[in-house]
Amino acid sequence: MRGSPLFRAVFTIIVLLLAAIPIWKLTHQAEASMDSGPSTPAAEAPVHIVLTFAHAPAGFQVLHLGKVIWEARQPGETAQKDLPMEFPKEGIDLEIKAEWLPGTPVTAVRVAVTHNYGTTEQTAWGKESLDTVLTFTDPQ
Amino acid sequence: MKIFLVHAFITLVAIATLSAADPIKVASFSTITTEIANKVGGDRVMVVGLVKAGIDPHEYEPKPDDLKQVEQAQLILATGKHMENYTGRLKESAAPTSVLLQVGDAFPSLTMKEEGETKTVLDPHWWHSISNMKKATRVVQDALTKISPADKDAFAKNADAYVAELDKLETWVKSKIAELPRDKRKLVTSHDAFQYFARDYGFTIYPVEGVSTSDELSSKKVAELVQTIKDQHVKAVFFENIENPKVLKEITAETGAKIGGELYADGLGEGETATYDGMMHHNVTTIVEALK
Repeated sequence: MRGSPLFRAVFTIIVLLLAAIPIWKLTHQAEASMDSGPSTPAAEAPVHIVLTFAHAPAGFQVLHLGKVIWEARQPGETAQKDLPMEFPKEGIDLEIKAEWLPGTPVTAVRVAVTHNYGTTEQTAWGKESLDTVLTFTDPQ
Repeated sequence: MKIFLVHAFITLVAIATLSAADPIKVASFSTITTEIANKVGGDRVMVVGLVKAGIDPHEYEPKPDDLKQVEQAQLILATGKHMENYTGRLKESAAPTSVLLQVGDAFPSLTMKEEGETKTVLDPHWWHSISNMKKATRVVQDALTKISPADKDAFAKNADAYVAELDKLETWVKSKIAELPRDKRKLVTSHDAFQYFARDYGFTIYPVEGVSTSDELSSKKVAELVQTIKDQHVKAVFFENIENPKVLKEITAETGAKIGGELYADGLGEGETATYDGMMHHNVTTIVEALK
Protein backbone atom coordinates (compact mmCIF):
# COMPACT_ATOMS: atom_id res chain seq x y z
CA MET A 1 0.00 0.00 0.00
CA ARG A 2 1.36 3.31 -1.06
CA GLY A 3 0.66 6.84 0.19
CA SER A 4 1.65 8.99 3.11
CA PRO A 5 1.89 7.36 6.59
CA LEU A 6 -0.55 9.95 7.92
CA PHE A 7 -3.18 9.02 5.31
CA ARG A 8 -2.71 5.31 6.12
CA ALA A 9 -3.10 5.93 9.86
CA VAL A 10 -6.32 7.95 9.38
CA PHE A 11 -7.73 5.30 7.05
CA THR A 12 -6.99 2.52 9.58
CA ILE A 13 -8.69 4.46 12.41
CA ILE A 14 -11.83 5.03 10.29
CA VAL A 15 -12.02 1.32 9.41
CA LEU A 16 -11.60 0.35 13.07
CA LEU A 17 -14.30 2.82 14.17
CA LEU A 18 -16.75 1.52 11.55
CA ALA A 19 -16.12 -2.05 12.70
CA ALA A 20 -16.51 -1.06 16.37
CA ILE A 21 -20.09 0.22 15.98
CA PRO A 22 -21.75 -3.16 15.14
CA ILE A 23 -19.51 -4.97 17.64
CA TRP A 24 -20.53 -2.51 20.40
CA LYS A 25 -24.22 -2.85 19.51
CA LEU A 26 -24.01 -6.63 19.57
CA THR A 27 -22.22 -6.84 22.91
CA HIS A 28 -24.47 -4.14 24.45
CA GLN A 29 -27.63 -6.09 23.55
CA ALA A 30 -26.16 -9.25 25.03
CA GLU A 31 -25.39 -7.42 28.28
CA ALA A 32 -28.90 -5.91 28.39
CA SER A 33 -30.56 -9.27 27.94
CA MET A 34 -28.32 -10.76 30.63
CA ASP A 35 -29.25 -7.96 33.05
CA SER A 36 -33.00 -8.43 32.61
CA GLY A 37 -32.69 -12.10 33.60
CA PRO A 38 -35.30 -14.73 32.86
CA SER A 39 -38.81 -13.32 32.31
CA THR A 40 -40.35 -15.93 34.54
CA PRO A 41 -39.29 -17.13 37.98
CA ALA A 42 -37.15 -20.23 38.07
CA ALA A 43 -39.84 -22.21 39.90
CA GLU A 44 -42.46 -21.45 37.23
CA ALA A 45 -43.58 -24.56 35.39
CA PRO A 46 -46.68 -25.72 33.52
CA VAL A 47 -49.61 -26.57 35.77
CA HIS A 48 -52.28 -28.74 34.14
CA ILE A 49 -55.82 -27.77 35.12
CA VAL A 50 -58.91 -29.83 34.32
CA LEU A 51 -62.42 -28.50 34.96
CA THR A 52 -65.24 -31.03 34.97
CA PHE A 53 -68.73 -29.57 35.19
CA ALA A 54 -71.83 -31.55 36.24
CA HIS A 55 -73.80 -29.29 33.86
CA ALA A 56 -72.11 -27.45 30.98
CA PRO A 57 -71.82 -23.79 32.01
CA ALA A 58 -72.52 -20.74 29.87
CA GLY A 59 -69.00 -19.60 30.66
CA PHE A 60 -66.21 -19.63 33.23
CA GLN A 61 -63.13 -17.75 34.38
CA VAL A 62 -60.11 -18.95 36.34
CA LEU A 63 -58.14 -16.27 38.20
CA HIS A 64 -54.70 -16.56 39.78
CA LEU A 65 -53.31 -13.73 41.94
CA GLY A 66 -56.21 -11.50 40.89
CA LYS A 67 -55.69 -11.94 37.15
CA VAL A 68 -57.79 -13.92 34.66
CA ILE A 69 -55.54 -16.70 33.40
CA TRP A 70 -58.17 -18.71 31.53
CA GLU A 71 -61.71 -18.05 30.38
CA ALA A 72 -64.13 -19.63 27.96
CA ARG A 73 -67.72 -19.33 26.75
CA GLN A 74 -69.84 -22.49 26.28
CA PRO A 75 -66.92 -24.81 27.04
CA GLY A 76 -68.93 -28.05 27.35
CA GLU A 77 -68.71 -30.31 30.39
CA THR A 78 -64.92 -30.65 30.41
CA ALA A 79 -62.13 -28.17 29.76
CA GLN A 80 -58.38 -28.53 30.30
CA LYS A 81 -55.31 -26.40 29.83
CA ASP A 82 -51.60 -26.13 30.69
CA LEU A 83 -50.80 -22.83 32.38
CA PRO A 84 -47.31 -21.70 33.42
CA MET A 85 -47.26 -20.55 37.03
CA GLU A 86 -45.15 -20.60 40.16
CA PHE A 87 -46.24 -23.31 42.61
CA PRO A 88 -44.69 -22.57 46.04
CA LYS A 89 -44.68 -25.24 48.73
CA GLU A 90 -47.44 -23.27 50.50
CA GLY A 91 -49.69 -23.98 47.49
CA ILE A 92 -51.78 -21.76 45.23
CA ASP A 93 -55.26 -20.23 45.33
CA LEU A 94 -57.41 -20.32 42.21
CA GLU A 95 -60.58 -18.23 42.02
CA ILE A 96 -63.23 -20.01 39.95
CA LYS A 97 -66.13 -18.03 38.49
CA ALA A 98 -68.82 -19.78 36.45
CA GLU A 99 -72.32 -19.06 35.16
CA TRP A 100 -75.02 -21.48 34.13
CA LEU A 101 -78.21 -20.84 32.18
CA PRO A 102 -81.25 -19.85 34.26
CA GLY A 103 -83.13 -22.91 35.50
CA THR A 104 -80.01 -25.06 35.88
CA PRO A 105 -80.33 -27.00 39.16
CA VAL A 106 -77.71 -26.90 41.93
CA THR A 107 -74.56 -28.07 40.21
CA ALA A 108 -70.87 -28.61 40.78
CA VAL A 109 -67.47 -28.25 39.18
CA ARG A 110 -64.47 -30.43 39.98
CA VAL A 111 -61.11 -28.73 39.58
CA ALA A 112 -58.06 -30.99 39.24
CA VAL A 113 -54.60 -29.40 39.35
CA THR A 114 -51.53 -31.41 38.33
CA HIS A 115 -48.05 -30.05 38.97
CA ASN A 116 -44.62 -31.30 40.03
CA TYR A 117 -45.93 -32.43 43.42
CA GLY A 118 -48.78 -34.54 41.95
CA THR A 119 -52.51 -34.03 41.44
CA THR A 120 -54.99 -32.43 43.84
CA GLU A 121 -58.74 -32.00 43.34
CA GLN A 122 -61.37 -29.71 44.80
CA THR A 123 -65.11 -29.52 44.16
CA ALA A 124 -67.25 -26.37 44.35
CA TRP A 125 -71.03 -26.09 44.23
CA GLY A 126 -73.20 -23.37 42.75
CA LYS A 127 -76.74 -22.49 41.69
CA GLU A 128 -76.73 -20.65 38.33
CA SER A 129 -73.52 -18.85 39.32
CA LEU A 130 -70.38 -19.54 41.31
CA ASP A 131 -67.56 -17.39 42.65
CA THR A 132 -65.23 -19.24 44.99
CA VAL A 133 -61.57 -19.55 45.89
CA LEU A 134 -60.02 -23.04 46.01
CA THR A 135 -56.66 -23.82 47.55
CA PHE A 136 -54.33 -26.43 46.07
CA THR A 137 -51.37 -27.64 48.09
CA ASP A 138 -48.78 -30.38 47.93
CA PRO A 139 -50.75 -33.67 48.14
CA GLN A 140 -47.82 -35.47 49.84
CA MET B 1 -121.77 -9.26 63.02
CA LYS B 2 -121.37 -8.10 66.64
CA ILE B 3 -119.21 -11.11 67.45
CA PHE B 4 -117.02 -10.41 64.40
CA LEU B 5 -116.53 -6.79 65.48
CA VAL B 6 -115.61 -7.82 69.04
CA HIS B 7 -113.06 -10.33 67.70
CA ALA B 8 -111.61 -7.74 65.33
CA PHE B 9 -111.34 -5.22 68.17
CA ILE B 10 -109.59 -7.72 70.45
CA THR B 11 -107.16 -8.65 67.66
CA LEU B 12 -106.34 -5.01 66.96
CA VAL B 13 -105.75 -4.33 70.66
CA ALA B 14 -103.48 -7.36 70.90
CA ILE B 15 -101.45 -6.26 67.86
CA ALA B 16 -101.24 -2.70 69.19
CA THR B 17 -100.10 -4.01 72.59
CA LEU B 18 -97.37 -6.16 71.00
CA SER B 19 -96.16 -3.32 68.78
CA ALA B 20 -96.02 -0.94 71.68
CA ALA B 21 -94.10 -3.42 73.87
CA ASP B 22 -90.92 -1.98 75.25
CA PRO B 23 -87.82 -2.96 73.30
CA ILE B 24 -85.51 -5.51 74.88
CA LYS B 25 -82.71 -3.74 76.74
CA VAL B 26 -79.27 -5.02 75.79
CA ALA B 27 -75.95 -3.98 77.36
CA SER B 28 -72.96 -4.85 75.17
CA PHE B 29 -69.28 -4.96 76.17
CA SER B 30 -67.88 -5.24 72.65
CA THR B 31 -68.32 -3.14 69.52
CA ILE B 32 -68.72 -6.41 67.62
CA THR B 33 -71.57 -7.77 69.76
CA THR B 34 -73.17 -4.32 69.68
CA GLU B 35 -73.39 -4.54 65.88
CA ILE B 36 -74.72 -8.11 65.97
CA ALA B 37 -77.40 -7.22 68.53
CA ASN B 38 -78.53 -4.19 66.50
CA LYS B 39 -78.61 -6.18 63.25
CA VAL B 40 -80.54 -9.13 64.70
CA GLY B 41 -82.76 -7.20 67.10
CA GLY B 42 -83.62 -4.33 64.76
CA ASP B 43 -86.26 -2.04 66.26
CA ARG B 44 -87.15 -4.67 68.88
CA VAL B 45 -83.99 -3.97 70.89
CA MET B 46 -82.36 -1.00 72.54
CA VAL B 47 -78.63 -1.69 72.63
CA VAL B 48 -76.26 0.27 74.84
CA GLY B 49 -72.67 -0.22 73.70
CA LEU B 50 -70.50 0.25 76.78
CA VAL B 51 -67.13 -0.45 75.16
CA LYS B 52 -66.86 2.12 72.41
CA ALA B 53 -64.67 2.33 69.29
CA GLY B 54 -61.00 2.89 70.07
CA ILE B 55 -61.23 1.59 73.65
CA ASP B 56 -58.88 -1.30 74.41
CA PRO B 57 -61.13 -4.17 75.56
CA HIS B 58 -58.16 -5.94 77.19
CA GLU B 59 -57.71 -3.03 79.59
CA TYR B 60 -61.35 -1.96 79.98
CA GLU B 61 -62.90 -1.84 83.47
CA PRO B 62 -66.65 -1.16 83.91
CA LYS B 63 -67.54 2.14 85.57
CA PRO B 64 -70.41 2.61 88.07
CA ASP B 65 -72.60 4.04 85.27
CA ASP B 66 -71.95 0.92 83.19
CA LEU B 67 -73.10 -1.30 86.05
CA LYS B 68 -76.35 0.73 86.22
CA GLN B 69 -76.95 -0.12 82.56
CA VAL B 70 -76.24 -3.76 83.39
CA GLU B 71 -78.83 -3.65 86.18
CA GLN B 72 -81.51 -2.58 83.71
CA ALA B 73 -80.51 -4.88 80.85
CA GLN B 74 -82.41 -8.05 79.98
CA LEU B 75 -79.49 -9.30 77.92
CA ILE B 76 -75.81 -8.61 78.62
CA LEU B 77 -73.43 -9.40 75.77
CA ALA B 78 -69.71 -9.98 76.24
CA THR B 79 -66.98 -11.18 73.87
CA GLY B 80 -66.20 -14.25 76.00
CA LYS B 81 -63.12 -16.51 75.78
CA HIS B 82 -61.80 -14.61 78.85
CA MET B 83 -61.62 -11.23 77.08
CA GLU B 84 -63.61 -9.64 79.93
CA ASN B 85 -62.06 -10.44 83.30
CA TYR B 86 -64.92 -8.65 85.09
CA THR B 87 -67.85 -10.96 84.28
CA GLY B 88 -68.17 -11.86 87.98
CA ARG B 89 -69.04 -8.22 88.75
CA LEU B 90 -71.51 -8.15 85.85
CA LYS B 91 -73.30 -11.21 87.26
CA GLU B 92 -73.52 -9.54 90.67
CA SER B 93 -74.95 -6.34 89.17
CA ALA B 94 -77.40 -7.98 86.78
CA ALA B 95 -81.05 -8.55 87.62
CA PRO B 96 -81.84 -12.18 88.50
CA THR B 97 -83.90 -12.59 85.33
CA SER B 98 -81.34 -11.11 82.96
CA VAL B 99 -79.07 -13.22 80.78
CA LEU B 100 -75.28 -12.82 80.60
CA LEU B 101 -74.14 -14.21 77.26
CA GLN B 102 -70.41 -14.60 76.56
CA VAL B 103 -70.91 -14.97 72.83
CA GLY B 104 -67.51 -16.41 71.88
CA ASP B 105 -67.84 -19.24 74.39
CA ALA B 106 -70.45 -20.85 72.14
CA PHE B 107 -67.94 -21.99 69.53
CA PRO B 108 -64.43 -23.57 69.46
CA SER B 109 -61.39 -21.57 70.54
CA LEU B 110 -57.85 -21.28 69.32
CA THR B 111 -55.27 -21.26 72.07
CA MET B 112 -51.97 -19.49 72.34
CA LYS B 113 -48.98 -19.05 74.60
CA GLU B 114 -48.72 -15.86 76.62
CA GLU B 115 -45.56 -13.77 76.68
CA GLY B 116 -42.84 -15.91 78.25
CA GLU B 117 -44.61 -19.02 76.94
CA THR B 118 -45.45 -20.41 80.36
CA LYS B 119 -49.22 -20.42 80.17
CA THR B 120 -51.72 -21.32 77.43
CA VAL B 121 -54.68 -18.97 77.08
CA LEU B 122 -57.73 -18.75 74.82
CA ASP B 123 -57.50 -16.33 71.91
CA PRO B 124 -60.56 -14.07 72.34
CA HIS B 125 -60.40 -12.37 68.90
CA TRP B 126 -62.88 -14.78 67.29
CA TRP B 127 -64.62 -12.13 65.12
CA HIS B 128 -61.70 -11.99 62.66
CA SER B 129 -63.18 -15.22 61.28
CA ILE B 130 -66.33 -14.46 59.26
CA SER B 131 -67.62 -18.00 59.89
CA ASN B 132 -67.43 -17.25 63.63
CA MET B 133 -69.44 -14.05 63.03
CA LYS B 134 -72.19 -16.13 61.41
CA LYS B 135 -72.22 -18.48 64.41
CA ALA B 136 -72.32 -15.50 66.79
CA THR B 137 -75.30 -14.09 64.88
CA ARG B 138 -77.26 -17.30 65.49
CA VAL B 139 -76.21 -17.34 69.17
CA VAL B 140 -77.57 -13.81 69.66
CA GLN B 141 -80.71 -14.67 67.65
CA ASP B 142 -81.41 -17.64 69.97
CA ALA B 143 -80.88 -15.52 73.10
CA LEU B 144 -83.22 -12.75 71.90
CA THR B 145 -85.84 -15.31 70.85
CA LYS B 146 -85.81 -16.87 74.34
CA ILE B 147 -86.37 -13.44 75.87
CA SER B 148 -89.16 -12.50 73.44
CA PRO B 149 -90.62 -15.57 71.71
CA ALA B 150 -93.27 -13.36 70.04
CA ASP B 151 -90.50 -11.75 67.97
CA LYS B 152 -89.07 -15.07 66.80
CA ASP B 153 -89.88 -14.49 63.11
CA ALA B 154 -88.55 -10.93 63.08
CA PHE B 155 -85.26 -12.01 64.69
CA ALA B 156 -84.94 -14.93 62.25
CA LYS B 157 -85.52 -12.64 59.25
CA ASN B 158 -83.02 -10.07 60.52
CA ALA B 159 -80.42 -12.73 61.30
CA ASP B 160 -80.82 -14.30 57.85
CA ALA B 161 -80.30 -10.90 56.23
CA TYR B 162 -77.16 -10.24 58.28
CA VAL B 163 -75.73 -13.69 57.51
CA ALA B 164 -76.36 -12.99 53.80
CA GLU B 165 -74.34 -9.75 54.18
CA LEU B 166 -71.57 -11.77 55.84
CA ASP B 167 -71.64 -14.33 52.99
CA LYS B 168 -71.16 -11.53 50.48
CA LEU B 169 -68.32 -10.08 52.55
CA GLU B 170 -66.67 -13.50 52.80
CA THR B 171 -66.71 -13.91 49.01
CA TRP B 172 -65.01 -10.53 48.63
CA VAL B 173 -62.42 -11.30 51.34
CA LYS B 174 -61.48 -14.65 49.77
CA SER B 175 -61.18 -13.06 46.34
CA LYS B 176 -59.03 -10.18 47.62
CA ILE B 177 -56.73 -12.43 49.63
CA ALA B 178 -56.33 -14.73 46.60
CA GLU B 179 -54.44 -11.80 44.98
CA LEU B 180 -51.63 -12.46 47.48
CA PRO B 181 -49.35 -15.50 46.86
CA ARG B 182 -49.64 -17.99 49.71
CA ASP B 183 -45.88 -17.84 50.37
CA LYS B 184 -46.22 -14.10 51.11
CA ARG B 185 -48.93 -14.50 53.75
CA LYS B 186 -46.79 -13.55 56.75
CA LEU B 187 -48.35 -11.16 59.21
CA VAL B 188 -46.30 -9.18 61.73
CA THR B 189 -48.63 -7.19 63.99
CA SER B 190 -48.29 -5.35 67.26
CA HIS B 191 -50.23 -7.99 69.21
CA ASP B 192 -51.38 -11.49 68.48
CA ALA B 193 -54.99 -10.82 67.50
CA PHE B 194 -55.28 -12.36 64.06
CA GLN B 195 -55.04 -16.12 64.68
CA TYR B 196 -58.61 -16.84 63.52
CA PHE B 197 -58.05 -14.73 60.42
CA ALA B 198 -54.74 -16.53 59.78
CA ARG B 199 -56.37 -19.95 60.15
CA ASP B 200 -59.11 -19.10 57.65
CA TYR B 201 -56.89 -17.51 55.01
CA GLY B 202 -53.53 -19.30 55.28
CA PHE B 203 -51.40 -16.66 57.03
CA THR B 204 -48.53 -17.23 59.47
CA ILE B 205 -48.51 -14.79 62.39
CA TYR B 206 -45.41 -13.24 63.94
CA PRO B 207 -46.75 -11.11 66.82
CA VAL B 208 -44.68 -8.44 68.52
CA GLU B 209 -46.56 -9.17 71.75
CA GLY B 210 -48.64 -12.04 73.11
CA VAL B 211 -52.41 -12.05 73.28
CA SER B 212 -52.89 -9.05 75.54
CA THR B 213 -51.93 -5.48 74.80
CA SER B 214 -50.55 -5.29 78.36
CA ASP B 215 -47.84 -7.88 77.70
CA GLU B 216 -44.38 -6.43 78.09
CA LEU B 217 -41.81 -6.84 75.37
CA SER B 218 -38.53 -8.53 76.07
CA SER B 219 -35.45 -7.47 74.12
CA LYS B 220 -34.81 -11.15 73.38
CA LYS B 221 -38.21 -11.49 71.72
CA VAL B 222 -37.67 -8.32 69.66
CA ALA B 223 -34.27 -9.65 68.50
CA GLU B 224 -35.86 -12.98 67.54
CA LEU B 225 -38.60 -11.20 65.63
CA VAL B 226 -36.11 -9.02 63.75
CA GLN B 227 -34.25 -12.17 62.68
CA THR B 228 -37.50 -13.88 61.64
CA ILE B 229 -38.57 -10.90 59.53
CA LYS B 230 -35.20 -10.97 57.78
CA ASP B 231 -35.24 -14.76 57.29
CA GLN B 232 -38.83 -14.85 56.01
CA HIS B 233 -38.38 -11.79 53.74
CA VAL B 234 -41.46 -10.16 55.26
CA LYS B 235 -42.25 -7.04 53.22
CA ALA B 236 -44.38 -5.14 55.73
CA VAL B 237 -45.40 -4.99 59.39
CA PHE B 238 -48.62 -3.57 60.77
CA PHE B 239 -49.63 -1.55 63.79
CA GLU B 240 -53.01 -1.28 65.46
CA ASN B 241 -55.44 1.53 66.03
CA ILE B 242 -55.06 1.46 69.82
CA GLU B 243 -51.39 0.63 70.03
CA ASN B 244 -48.22 2.63 70.19
CA PRO B 245 -46.45 1.88 66.89
CA LYS B 246 -43.04 2.95 68.22
CA VAL B 247 -41.67 -0.59 68.64
CA LEU B 248 -42.80 -1.58 65.16
CA LYS B 249 -41.07 1.48 63.72
CA GLU B 250 -37.85 0.41 65.45
CA ILE B 251 -38.22 -3.09 64.00
CA THR B 252 -38.74 -1.75 60.49
CA ALA B 253 -35.63 0.40 60.82
CA GLU B 254 -33.59 -2.72 61.62
CA THR B 255 -35.14 -5.07 59.07
CA GLY B 256 -35.91 -2.86 56.09
CA ALA B 257 -39.56 -3.98 56.12
CA LYS B 258 -42.03 -1.16 55.61
CA ILE B 259 -44.92 -0.09 57.82
CA GLY B 260 -47.90 -1.70 56.09
CA GLY B 261 -50.53 0.41 57.80
CA GLU B 262 -52.99 0.41 60.65
CA LEU B 263 -55.16 -2.63 61.45
CA TYR B 264 -58.27 -2.83 63.60
CA ALA B 265 -57.59 -5.79 65.89
CA ASP B 266 -59.67 -5.32 69.04
CA GLY B 267 -62.98 -4.14 67.64
CA LEU B 268 -64.60 -1.64 65.33
CA GLY B 269 -63.26 1.84 64.67
CA GLU B 270 -64.83 5.07 63.54
CA GLY B 271 -65.81 6.40 60.10
CA GLU B 272 -65.38 3.74 57.41
CA THR B 273 -64.38 1.14 60.02
CA ALA B 274 -67.43 1.75 62.24
CA THR B 275 -69.11 -1.35 60.81
CA TYR B 276 -67.87 -4.94 60.66
CA ASP B 277 -68.03 -4.82 56.87
CA GLY B 278 -66.00 -1.61 56.81
CA MET B 279 -63.46 -2.92 59.31
CA MET B 280 -62.87 -6.12 57.32
CA HIS B 281 -62.58 -4.21 54.02
CA HIS B 282 -60.00 -1.91 55.64
CA ASN B 283 -57.95 -4.68 57.28
CA VAL B 284 -57.92 -7.01 54.27
CA THR B 285 -57.12 -4.26 51.76
CA THR B 286 -54.33 -2.92 53.98
CA ILE B 287 -52.75 -6.36 54.43
CA VAL B 288 -52.98 -7.46 50.79
CA GLU B 289 -51.74 -4.22 49.26
CA ALA B 290 -48.76 -4.01 51.66
CA LEU B 291 -47.62 -7.62 51.26
CA LYS B 292 -48.07 -7.97 47.48
